[in-house]
Amino acid sequence: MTTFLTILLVVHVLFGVIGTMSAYVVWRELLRSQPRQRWLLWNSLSTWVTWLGAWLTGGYYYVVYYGEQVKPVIKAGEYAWAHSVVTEWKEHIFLFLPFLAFVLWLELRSGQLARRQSLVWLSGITWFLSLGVTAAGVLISGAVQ
Amino acid sequence: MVAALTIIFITALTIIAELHPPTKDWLQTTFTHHWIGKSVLALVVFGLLSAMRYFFPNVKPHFGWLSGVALGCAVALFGFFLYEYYF
Repeated sequence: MTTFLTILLVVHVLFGVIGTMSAYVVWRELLRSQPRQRWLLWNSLSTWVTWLGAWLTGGYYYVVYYGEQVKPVIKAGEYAWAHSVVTEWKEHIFLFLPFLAFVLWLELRSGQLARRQSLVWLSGITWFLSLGVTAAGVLISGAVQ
Repeated sequence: MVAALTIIFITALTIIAELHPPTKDWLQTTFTHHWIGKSVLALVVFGLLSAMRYFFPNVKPHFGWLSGVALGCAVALFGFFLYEYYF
């Protein structure tokens, strides 16, 4: 793997983790009796932007390197299910996240929390799915090793 | 509503592409990679639905429904890939 791809992979992971952390902050903040508007706004924006970054960096790595170099290794080993189930699930569920984060940010930008209860659910489920995606990434890395 | 329909679209397209090889081949040849195709089409669908929403400004967003759709589609896809691998 080239240095560029190594850096890209690291950046992808960083973006993903930062986005997941920001998503958690949004969810927890919405659970407060008096959510702090600026905190919500910045963290929801951070979630959306970092996941966009993870999409682009991970997508490039996946298309250019993973498919040709990593996938055959996993599928030939004893953890073939790590690609066929986990990677496949991760690469498609990840497509949900930027849209979920964008919608959340858009709604929180209005400053009105009239639909707060459903926003709590949305932010919680967004965070939960992002945790699953993160865990899937860890598992796939382990399968390669 | 727009995000929920986009997520349903992604899920449906993923399952269809796995079960119907010509669809996956079309995504591959048109977009150089099937995953890029799904990403681009998801953005297009989201954009088009968002634009259409301008004509229905009184339609309120349903975030509770969006949560359910996202979780349901995630579970459905996991079940699908599990089934496809083991059976």
